[in-house]
Order: sequence, then structure tokens, then C-alpha cells
Amino acid sequence: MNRTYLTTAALVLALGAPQAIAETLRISQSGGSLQDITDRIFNIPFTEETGIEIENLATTDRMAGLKAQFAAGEVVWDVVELSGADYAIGVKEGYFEPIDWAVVDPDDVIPDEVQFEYAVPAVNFAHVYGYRIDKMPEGKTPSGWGDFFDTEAFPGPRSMRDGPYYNLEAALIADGVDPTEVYDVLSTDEGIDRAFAKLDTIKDDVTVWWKSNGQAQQALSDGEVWLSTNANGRFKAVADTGVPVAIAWEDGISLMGFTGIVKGTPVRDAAMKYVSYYITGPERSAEFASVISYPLFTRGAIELIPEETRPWLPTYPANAEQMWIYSDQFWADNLDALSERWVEWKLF
Amino acid sequence: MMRHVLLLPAGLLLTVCFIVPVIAIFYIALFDPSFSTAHFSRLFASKGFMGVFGHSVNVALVVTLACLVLGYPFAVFLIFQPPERRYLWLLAALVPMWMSILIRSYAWMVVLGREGIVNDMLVLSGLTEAPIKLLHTSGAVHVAMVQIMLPLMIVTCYAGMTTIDLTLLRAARVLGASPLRAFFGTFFPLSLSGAVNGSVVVFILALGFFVTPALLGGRRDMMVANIISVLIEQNNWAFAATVAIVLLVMTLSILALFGGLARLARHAGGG
Repeated sequence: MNRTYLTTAALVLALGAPQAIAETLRISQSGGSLQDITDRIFNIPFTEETGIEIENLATTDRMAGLKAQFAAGEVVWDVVELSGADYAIGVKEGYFEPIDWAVVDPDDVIPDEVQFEYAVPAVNFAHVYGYRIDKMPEGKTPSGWGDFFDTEAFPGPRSMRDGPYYNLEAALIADGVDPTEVYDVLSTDEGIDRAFAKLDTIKDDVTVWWKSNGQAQQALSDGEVWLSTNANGRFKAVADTGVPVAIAWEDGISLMGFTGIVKGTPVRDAAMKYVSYYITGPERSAEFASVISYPLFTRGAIELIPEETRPWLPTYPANAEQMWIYSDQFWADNLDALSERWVEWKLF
Repeated sequence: MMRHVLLLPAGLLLTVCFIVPVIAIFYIALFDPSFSTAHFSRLFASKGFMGVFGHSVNVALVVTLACLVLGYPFAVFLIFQPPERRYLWLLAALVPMWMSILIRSYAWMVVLGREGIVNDMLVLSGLTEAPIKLLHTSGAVHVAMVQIMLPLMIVTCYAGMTTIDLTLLRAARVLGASPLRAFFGTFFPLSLSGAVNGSVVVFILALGFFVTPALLGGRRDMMVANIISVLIEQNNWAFAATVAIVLLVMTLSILALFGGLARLARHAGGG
């Protein structure tokens, strides 16, 4: 009798207490099929454990949204997913709360070099190119940007992102520039001319200039193009449907995502709890990477990922050592001018 | 006075949701941070951006003309059908409008692709040896946009024609005109204002197209809306606003031009 009473009381406390302070976190994540996975692995268990509700406000125009919200004086997001470029702009504009690393990562499972001041590191991913194994010349495998630009050795339609970033770097590397010197070369007018001149050589072989990753994924999958750039996870998604696709990792561009807490949020503590939950669980991180090939930085996660999945990941040592790191800073400074040049280059 | 009160709700909605934002866009373009016309100078001096404007107008013109050529005869056909069959045909023309533009654009990718239906048939029938490039061309953009806009053209032309007194045709015939002469002497001039209205609607919508050219077009198929989207992504709101204003002014000028045409058409019909 007494025992039942105590259990009931404990239950009431356990269930009732979080409800009494029922908080809601408004999170802006990517939406779509990735959202379902994020919900299943992170968001729903987080609500179950902490009682903090999550309201998802998906968007693709994140920076435009933040800018409009700060201008209007009413911020409707507490936590936001960010690209590298978003993070650079947002820090400059003062959109984010500083991260309290003692609270977020008490067990020190996140490497020091990615413990940023205004955001937690989220996914690792790579901008690489993949190719249709069945469409390549007998016995030949493309490797590195040089082969992507070599339409004699590897004939066939190609697809690249519609915009200057990634492509100018790839063109310079294909033209013989060392990846470590790419941004030095791109900082000069001659370097930019050189990159566009190299792009000229495959201008008509690139039949699809993709605007979204999904579009590029579809083109490769349909056989519309035989070589295509994309984020690494998209190629595994194509391969999983039975289409023979492989990634050329050499000279791949290493990138990362961020998650930030919006300045002035009324639920700062809950937001810290959420980002901590998101990045510090090796099992969750491993499960996430197994499904979509974008690993987090959590120590101890890679060992938990199935062996056959690891070669699809950018953090797999054999892949990681072939890649180089993208500069968000260079593009924050130069995107405007180079985008205009890009439009002109495409048109004429 | 009473009649003007009826305008109030619509006027209020338009002021809050359209006029105020448009003024804000002008402000953003001209005060960044203090008054400057630098963005306008940059836009007009840019070969690339001006080229995109030119291309957008070109695409919108081609699509409007094609819709007119296909849609006007269909509307004439409709008007001479007995009522019960007329609505069946009208329904057939309208059904595609209930599908999202995005879905229809993707569907065209399946039809026109290198390994798509058309190419498969061409290769199987021996007409061509290898697949030909249909998708990711300006032609693909035109075909898909015409398919998307055609119902609008048909409905607008048809709506204009429903007000025409068809006994005029019989009267002309009774007075000895040949069928062609009767058509072009009575029906045709009266139907022109509907055709002009349809063309205006299609042209203006086509000018702002976004998804279809992005998915189906080739290297040169950039529309003004694509440029605005890229600029917003880069956080360059002032320049995006400048592009939007030029597009707006251009659209209004074209609307005024068409308005003049419509008046001429009415005079032709009335006279």
C-alpha cells in the first residue's frame, strides 16, 4: 500500500514536474526527409527525456529569416542550423548567444578546435564529385578534379553547382594549383581569370547547373549526367537505390555545419541543453551518420558505425586525408562580386 | 460614397500587404545606409544582370505567343460547342492547373530526359541513333512553361468570348459574307480584348517564373527571379531590392503598353 503510494507519487512528480515548467524550443532545421531522421534520433528522445517541447520551423532562407526577425525586433527561433557562410555572417551581425562549453560538453567529447565561441559544430560533410561506374570508359576510374575536367579521358555529360563557390576552387586544382594555395591564387585577378578560363574548357559538357542537391542527385540517378558534384551523402543515397555510383574523394572539399543559439532567446538554458544533447551522444551521433553519412564531431562515434558505411563518410581516414578545407571567410568577402561575374560567364 | 465603402477591405489589404512593402523595397534599394543610387548604376552597368533581364523578356514573349497561338483557337472551339460538352472540354483544359508547378516541372524531366520517354521512343524507333539533348535547353523551358500557362490563356480568351453575341455571325452570313469573312468581320474583333487580357496575364506571370527554368533550363536560362533569390541568399538585400524594382517598373510599363493595345482592340471591336 505504502509502496504503491510512493511509486505513484514519484510518477506524478516525474511526469508532472517537467509539465509544470513546460518549455518550448523553436528550432529552425532543414525540413524534408533529413528532418524525419533528426526528429527520430534527436528531437523526439530529447523531449521524452527533458520534457522540453520542440516546435520545428523549417526554412532554407535562414539568414534572410534572421535578418528580418532582428529588423522586426521579434525573434521566432531559439536554435538554428547554420552553414559555414551563415555562421560567418551571423557572428559579424551579432545574431548568436555565446556557447557555454562547460554546460554543453562537460565530459569533453568534442575536440577543442571545434569548440567555437558562438555555435556548436554540427555535421561534417564533403563537396565531392561522384560518377556512374557503368558509364565510365572500360577499366578507368576518375580521381581528382583534373579527371572531372578531362572530357577526353572521361567523356560524358556533367553537372556542377550553379554558383562560383566550390567550382572556382575545383577549376584551379584541375589546372594544377595545390589545394593549400587555392585561396591565395583566387585572391588575385589573374587567379580568377585562370579559374574561369579552366571552366571554359568544360562549359558545354556541363549540361546541368544544379540549384539544389536533390536536383543533382536526380540527374545522376536518371543517367542525365554521368559525373556530378554534390554533398557526399547524396551519392550514398543514390547507391542505396541500386544505381552504380562511386565517389572520387581526391581533392574533395571538406565542410561543416553549425548549430547556433539565437541572441536574446527566452529559453537559453533549454537551448544549451538541446545543443548539448545533439552533439555529445556517441550512439546518437553514430546512428545519425549511419543513416545519412554526415557524422558529428562526437568522440567515440565512428567506432559505433557499421563497417560497410564508414567508407562513405568524410571522416573515414582514407577519405579525410585526401581532402582540404573550404574557406567561408574568402567567400564571405568575395561572393557578391564573383556571383556577378558568374552570371555573366554563364550567359555569354 | 456608399460604393466606395465597399472598396475599403480590399484597399486596406492592398495597402498593408502590397503598397507598404513596395515602399519598403524602394527604401532598402535607395538608402543603404544613406541615399545612393549606386545599386541602380551597378545593375545597369552589369552585362550579366542586364542579359538576364533580356533573356527573361525573351522567354516570356515566346511563351505568351505560343500560348496565344494554341489557346485562342481552343477557346473559339469551346465557344461553338453545345454547353454540356463545352464544360467537359473546359474541365479537360483546367485539370492540369490543379497540379503543383514543381511536380509538373519534374514530370517534364522524366519526359524529356536523356533516358526519358521521348528519347527512348526515338532510339527504339530508329529515328535517332543516340539520345538527343532535349532536357536542359531553352526549348524545354518553353514547352513546360507553355503547358503550365496554357489553361490561363484559354480561360481568359474564353471568358472574353462568352460576352459576344453569336447571332452576329449568322447575321453576317445572311447578308452574304463567306464563313471566314463573317468570322473575321464580327467575332474576331470582339474577341481581341480577351486575347489581349490573356496575353498580359501570361506574360507577367512568365516574367516572374522561377522553378521551371531552374529545373529544366540550360546554362543561359536564368530568370530575374533566380537572380533575386541568389542575391537574398548572399544577404545583399539592397541589390536584390534594386533588381525587384526594375522588374516591377518594367512589368508596369508593359502593362501600360498592353492597356493601350486593349483600348485599340476595343475600338476595333466597337467600330
